[in-house]
Amino acid sequence: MGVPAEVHRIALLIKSMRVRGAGRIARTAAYAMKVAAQKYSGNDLNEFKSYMRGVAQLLGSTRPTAVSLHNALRYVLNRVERAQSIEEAVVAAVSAADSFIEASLNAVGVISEIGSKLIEDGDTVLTHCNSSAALAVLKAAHSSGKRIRVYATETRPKFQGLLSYRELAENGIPVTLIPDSAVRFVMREVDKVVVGADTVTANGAVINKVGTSLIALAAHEARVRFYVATETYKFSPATVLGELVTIEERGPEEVVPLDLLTSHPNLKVRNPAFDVTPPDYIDAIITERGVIPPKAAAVILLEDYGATLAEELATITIDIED
Amino acid sequence: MLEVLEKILENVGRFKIYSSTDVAFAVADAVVKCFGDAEDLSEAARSVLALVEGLANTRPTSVISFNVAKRLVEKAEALMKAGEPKERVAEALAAEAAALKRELESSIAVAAALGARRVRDGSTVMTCSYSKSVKALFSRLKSEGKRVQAIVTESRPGGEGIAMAQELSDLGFETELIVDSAVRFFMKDVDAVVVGAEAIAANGAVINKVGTSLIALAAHEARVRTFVIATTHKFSTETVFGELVRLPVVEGTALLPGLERVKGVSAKCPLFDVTPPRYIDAIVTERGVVAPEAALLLVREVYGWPTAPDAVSCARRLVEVAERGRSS
Repeated sequence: MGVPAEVHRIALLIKSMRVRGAGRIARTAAYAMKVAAQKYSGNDLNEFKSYMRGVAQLLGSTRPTAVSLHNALRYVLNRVERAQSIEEAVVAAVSAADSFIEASLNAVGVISEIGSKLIEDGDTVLTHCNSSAALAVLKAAHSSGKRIRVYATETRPKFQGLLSYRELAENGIPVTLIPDSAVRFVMREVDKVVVGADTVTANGAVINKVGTSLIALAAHEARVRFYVATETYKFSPATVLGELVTIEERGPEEVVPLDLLTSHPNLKVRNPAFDVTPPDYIDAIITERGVIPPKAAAVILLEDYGATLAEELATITIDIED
Repeated sequence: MLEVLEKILENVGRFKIYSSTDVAFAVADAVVKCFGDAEDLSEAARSVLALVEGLANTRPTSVISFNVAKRLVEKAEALMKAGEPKERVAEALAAEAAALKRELESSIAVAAALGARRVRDGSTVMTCSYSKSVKALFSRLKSEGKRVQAIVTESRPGGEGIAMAQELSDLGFETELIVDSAVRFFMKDVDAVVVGAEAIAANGAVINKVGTSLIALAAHEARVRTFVIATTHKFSTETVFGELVRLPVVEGTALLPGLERVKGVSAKCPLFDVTPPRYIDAIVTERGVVAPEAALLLVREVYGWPTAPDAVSCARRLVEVAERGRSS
């Protein structure tokens, strides 16, 4: 059977960036897997498995580089693959999706509690883009009675910083919006930087909204501590096997009106969505399993995916010349 | 009279005039106009003082404008002391302003020619904001037949990098426009950073559009050279005496295209930042390519030692001279 219209609709929401943020994308994808399982009208285990693989492929193609999305799909799919009967498989898909969503939401709560301890009374904190984990840390610090001030970067081209601004302001946290170019200008006033992550690689590098690495560099220069708040399902198992993370480049229309480019043939817009912050500039990664140094990312990955990675490693064959 | 001044100052404060050299041109025209429109020398002198004071409030960083104003004020003072009538002073100032503009243009052209020598054929150059001097350098590269790729940041607040990118692409250079955040992402593709300057302090620190120091920092990290192209008119003599350069900050979202109409947001837009000399490989002037730390030597050479008082003091003295001339 084909992919249900409802799932197509959700896929479009992710693709068009109406659903943003790695955590939200992952939960939405898990939810779409659940919807797909519930809408399945057939009665054949193998057909169901290949149907779910098709759904996962469609959802995965919306944001090919979003690790959280692929880990969510993998989480549900792994449990479907293990099922012995069609009934069991459908139940497994639904409950896996539910438990993924629940764990994801709980993770943010745990991260906020752990992370808030790293924030001190009177701190000025800078954040970039719109990360639910990073904002949860700031909100938890605020509600525990610590007086904090926040600088939120506007985050061109899509102004996600405005969403962060509003969320913090609604929670009564004093916040000031700044252009992305002003990061070094304000860094002297900043005590800590807290950002989210899109992907964490095996060597502890963090892929996040473009500009993050520039902020980390400016923080490093000013000896300002730089924290990444992120759920462990954003850690990329593929990078353990040497896979490079592809940085998505988005369309020019996000930056300038397209007619500007048609009237200037030598002019192009380059619009990378993410950049890579090296582990050297990161003081710690705050996860739901604790605060870890960035270079310990591999430990988490081996804990979570050790078995699968070993299987995949075993399939790599090497020709040895005589 | 003051309306005209206010208009100029508003344009300057709102980044409607992009390049600091163009700001200086506007100031030169305004000084000439002060003498053309005034009833007498005393009124003219007071208008000039209002202009210089207004400039000190809206764009205190624009050293080139103050230096231009100072030159014209000193000229006016000399003529007034010699007992010249208002019409003669106005005429002479118009001629002096025209000469100054030619001097600035030719200085920029010389600096551009020197700077172009530091840019190799086939290289990629990153720049930001809108700079007449950087544009002159690219024009020079074009005339030398060097093919260079340009990467230009949007340069918010204001976003005048978009205009810069258009103009470089119209000169025939393959130009890539990027958001300010993407500077570090692209730095590994860059061979040299070339930026203009709003002002240069005595220690060689460069005051330029906000974001410049971030670019220089990212370049330094990637071992990419950073060149600043600036004529000696932009060297600040006041900083030699410990004066700090006040950096204007605009509150609100008025200078953030796309967010101008967003209500109730507390925003802070610094217009300039300071790039420390250690991130700058060289400052390219019309008198040669120098290390930033050698800025002081050039200041002495160009402006003499000790240097003349600041533009506001000069304008105040002009008012005194005019008042005295009237009473005698």
